[in-house]
This record gives sequence, C-alpha cells and structure tokens, in this order.
Amino acid sequence: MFRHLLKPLWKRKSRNLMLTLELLLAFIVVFAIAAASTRYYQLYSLPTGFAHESVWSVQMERAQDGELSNESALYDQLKRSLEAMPEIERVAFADFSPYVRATWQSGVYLPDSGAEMATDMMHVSDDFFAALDMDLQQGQWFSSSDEGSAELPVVINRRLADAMFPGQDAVGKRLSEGAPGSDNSSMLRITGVIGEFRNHGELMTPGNFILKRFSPLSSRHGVSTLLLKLRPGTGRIFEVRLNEQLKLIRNDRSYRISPLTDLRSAILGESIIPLIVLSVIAAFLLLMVAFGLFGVLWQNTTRRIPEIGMRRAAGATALQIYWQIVVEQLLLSSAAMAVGLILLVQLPITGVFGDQLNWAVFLIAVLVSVALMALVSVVCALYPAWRASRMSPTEALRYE
Amino acid sequence: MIRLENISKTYRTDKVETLALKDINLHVNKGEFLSIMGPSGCGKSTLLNLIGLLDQPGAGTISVDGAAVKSYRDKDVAQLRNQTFGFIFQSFHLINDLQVIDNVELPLLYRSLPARERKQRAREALERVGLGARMEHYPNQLSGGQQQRVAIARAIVGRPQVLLADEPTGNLDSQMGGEVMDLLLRLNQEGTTVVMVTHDEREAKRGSHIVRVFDGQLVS
Ligand SMILES: Nc1ncnc2c1ncn2[C@@H]1O[C@H](COP(=O)(O)OP(=O)(O)OP(=O)(O)O)[C@@H](O)[C@H]1O
Ligand SMILES: [Mg+2]
Repeated sequence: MFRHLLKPLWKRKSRNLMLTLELLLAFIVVFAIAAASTRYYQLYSLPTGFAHESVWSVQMERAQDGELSNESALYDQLKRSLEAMPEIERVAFADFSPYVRATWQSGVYLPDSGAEMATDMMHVSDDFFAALDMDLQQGQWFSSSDEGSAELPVVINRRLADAMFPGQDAVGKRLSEGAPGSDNSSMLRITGVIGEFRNHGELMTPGNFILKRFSPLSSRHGVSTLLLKLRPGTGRIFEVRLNEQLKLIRNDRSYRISPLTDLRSAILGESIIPLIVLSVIAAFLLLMVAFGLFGVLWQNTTRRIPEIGMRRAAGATALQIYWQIVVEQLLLSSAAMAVGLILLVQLPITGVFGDQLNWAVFLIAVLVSVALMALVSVVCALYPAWRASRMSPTEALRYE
Repeated sequence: MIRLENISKTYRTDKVETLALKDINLHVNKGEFLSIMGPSGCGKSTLLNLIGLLDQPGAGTISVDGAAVKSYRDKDVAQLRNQTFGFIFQSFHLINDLQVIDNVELPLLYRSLPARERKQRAREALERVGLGARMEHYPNQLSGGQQQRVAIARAIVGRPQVLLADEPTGNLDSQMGGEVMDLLLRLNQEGTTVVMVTHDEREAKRGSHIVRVFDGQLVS
C-alpha cells in the first residue's frame, strides 16, 4: 500500500515540488513564531532572583549634575530616620533600581590567566539582599564585617561563577576589574554566589552579574537610589508622608518615589508593545500562510476528485480515501519539514542567535511547528477529500 | 442476477428538478450481454450507475443476486462494488501517474490480498486484454484503444460477476472500438455478465439483449 502512495507522489514530483516549497516556507514561518513565543515564555518563567512586592524605590535627584561623591552622613541619616518609620522594614541603597532600564557593563578578568568576561554590575548596600528577599546559593552575603577590606567584596551570579571558575567553588576567589596590572584595575573578592539576578525583570536575557558592595562609610562614590522594604499592606497614601520625611532629612534634593510593581508594569509594558506588534504581524503571516497552504492543498485534492470517484467505484470506502489522502499529505509535509529541520538545526548548532535560540527553545519550537503544520496540512487536505466523499461516486467522476 | 423494481431517480439542482428515470423495471440475467440504447440525455448512464450501486435511487428496489440492497451505507456498497461489479468508463479514468500494472491492481488494494498475489492477478488480467507487454508503461504512453483495454483489465482484475460499461467505445475510432467490443464479447462468452451503454446500433446488436430508454422510461 505504501509503495502505491510513494510511486505517484514521486511521479508528480514537479507539481509536488511547488507544494513542498510552500510547505517549507510555511514551516519556517511557523517555526520562527513558535521559537519567539517559546523564548519569551521561557524568559518570563525564569526567576528574576528578587522579590518586588512591597518594595519601593526612591530616586534622589540633585539640582546640579556631576560626579556623586559619597556623603556618609547622609546615608546614615536616611537609613536611621526612615527605618524609624513604622511602615518601613528596611532601607537599602543601590546605583539604580531594579525594573529601570539602566545598565553598567564592564570586563572582569581572572588575575592569573587574564581570561576576560563581560558582565553587568551595580553597587548595592549590605541590606539590599534582605530588602529584595534574595536567595544565596553559596558563601555569604557581604556585610559590615567586610568593612575595610582591601579587595571589594562582591556577590556574583551562578552563570558568571560557572564561566570564570568551571567546576570550582567560586567563593573566596578573586576577580580583577580592568585588565590585571593596569592602572585603573581593582581587585574584587567573591563572598557569595546567587542563582540569578535579572535587574530589568522577567523579559531580560540572563547574563553575568556582579553585585559590588556599596559602603556608606568607605565607598568613593555615592549612589542615588534607595530601596525601601515596606511592611506588607502599606498603601500608596504612605507616599506623601514618605516624601515629607525625605524632605525633612534633606531639602535640597527631589525624590521620585515609585513602587517596584509600578516600575515592573512600566518596563513590561515597554517590552510588550513591540511584542504585541510582532504578534500581530506573526498572526497575519500565519493567516497568510494558512490561506496559501489551504488554497494549494485544496486545489491539489480537488483536482483528484474524479480519481476519488473512480476509486470508490472500484470499491474504496470513504475511510480508505481519507487514509490515502492523509498519508500522502503527511509524506509530503514530512519531506518539507525534514528539509526545513536540516536548515533550521544549523541555527542552534552554529549559535548565531546565541542563547535566544537555545536547544530547549529550538526543540519546543520544532515540536510546536511540526504538530501545527501536520495538523494544518492534514485538515486542509482532508476537507476537500471529505467533500469529495460526500458526493456520490457518479458526481465525483463527472467533477470538473 | 440483478433486478430493478419500480426504480425512479430525480436529480435536484438549485433551480431545477430533473426526473432522469421513471418507474423502471429491469432484469439482468446471469451471463447475458445487455445493451442499453437511447438518445442523449435519456437516462442511460443514470440507469447504469444505479445498477452498479454508484448512486442511490430515489424510489424502488435493486436486488443483487437475489438480495435487495437495503442500506447504501458506504461500507456495504463499497464491498459490493468491489466484489460484484467492474466498471468501464467512456473516458477511461486511468491514473496517469501510475504504471499500467499499478492501475490494474487498484481494485485489489481494497481487498486484503498479499502484494504478490495482487501483482500476479494484475498481470493475468493484462494478458487477457492483450497488454502483457505494456505493464511498465504509463497510460499516456498508450493509444486510446490500449488505454480502454487497461481499464477493462482493471475492471476484470477482481473477477467480478458483472461488467458495467458506459459507452466504452465512445472515445475510440471504429477499429479500436471494434477491438474493445471483441474483448467484451469474449469476456461475456467466458461467463461474465455485461451491461453496456452504447449509441451504436451494430455494437448493441452483437449483445444478447437490447433495452431502449426514452425520456427516462424503458421502451421495449
Ligand atoms: N448529476 C446530475 N445532476 C443533475 N442532472 C443530471 C445529473 N446527471 C444527469 N442529469 C440529467 O439526467 C438526465 C439523464 O442523464 P444521463 O447522463 O443518464 O443521460 P445519458 O442517457 O447517459 O446521456 P448521454 O448519452 O449523453 O450520455 C439528463 O437530463 C441529465 O441532464
Ligand atoms: Mg451517458
């Protein structure tokens, strides 16, 4: 039976080649859409590494720009008087807030081998980890007991630890910021390793991250962001009192207060608008592909209605006709998809899209697009076959 | 062999209803060569298709081998079409993408037969129609007469009791038509019942019996 399907398929190869090309094109479009959606879903379900609930960020803005110098007295005063408020559980400082599109990238080096790695980094105070309810995988958070050490204490994420110290315990190891031996290089000492830290939030591509210790006492530069962990249930109304309190502490600054949930919605919204535009285009493309495919398959089966009539006159049941059409169509679609897969598998193999198209994304996208294509092509082929078998064999034989 | 009782058939299209057959009573005897004649549009093809269970009558009963066809359920009629009838069409209806031998084998695909036996039977059928040397050809590499003989081989490969031929020579010149007629007569002599629609009085006379259809009714 199989040979009886393959032979005419092969005989019709020039006509089937066009159909296969159409199927291949559709497959690639569907794959691209599936891969993008899978990737976004994958990113969204990855941990960010911190909790944003009931954390507010306060941006301190000065009247004039310029290098921010450390004013230890100010940080001390902010911390003490804010933590005195009953609504505030904890006060931490950082270069910038999570869910804000700010990035600081730099290279770190192994002091011995000079191997380099680019990484995101930011300064955070000792309380930062507790304020954002972060989890430590190895070692310790840095703390006031690290005060005065010659090497700057840092916490790094798992990805960077594995890249720099594969198979080893990164805790206690040293990294050089700036090429080792150069004038502006400084030594970092790893006190702890965290699983993940994605400061831009759920849709951020995971990367390397270093959290450097900011010390109000000894850091050379100041930071301008406060992160306040509030008692659960504190309402937005508190913003007014908080602002008053901040003005009392330091009147020459203005303060921009935003709950992290707001910043989160804003940054997600920003990423989602292009995503929506993209999905509208994708849906449109998919629709075009489906219509194109349907048209081609429809024509392909319709042309064979007299043949179907003859087969039924020769004793084929409608079910046998369906089977034949489905198997034929699946053979064609499989051929197209096999070609597509051979082409597409080059993407993760060569890694042109890096982690955006990792193997997990690739495999899921392949599964989704193969299933979808098989479904669409079978349905598109079956519908005319179903119509043909609803006709009497006589009608089918006469069909033009 | 086949008995039609009070058979009527109406075609309904969007606008018009055509009464194609009216109250037909007909008996096809085992082993006979029945020719159906009549002017164009009188309902000959309709009658033949009803005999071969390709279509369902509007009213009346058809009995095959003494058993009335009650259900026109796909599975039941498919079985009868496959086992009892062999069809020959005016326009051959061969599959051009299949070799002659595979075309002939086609009705056997709808039976459970081992591939070797199917091939063997198809080969025998082709030899019976004198095309044993053309098995590997494709239909469009053959003459019209040869193509119709392939169609006849396909019709007889399942060893049906009845051959139904709708103007089998209609698309052929007289010489090739003659060959096809000879073949049908020989098959009839070997025991197959043949029902043939034709426009040609001389062809019809070579059969054992003629019925004439006029405007959907039998006139004998
Ligand atoms: N599928 C159909 N739908 C509507 N009317 C039909 C259909 N098939 C046949 N008819 C009509 O039924 C009548 C009988 O048609 P039929 O094909 O049986 O004639 P015929 O005797 O075989 O003619 P011919 O010698 O031209 O082949 C005609 O009037 C025809 O128009
Ligand atoms: Mg006719």
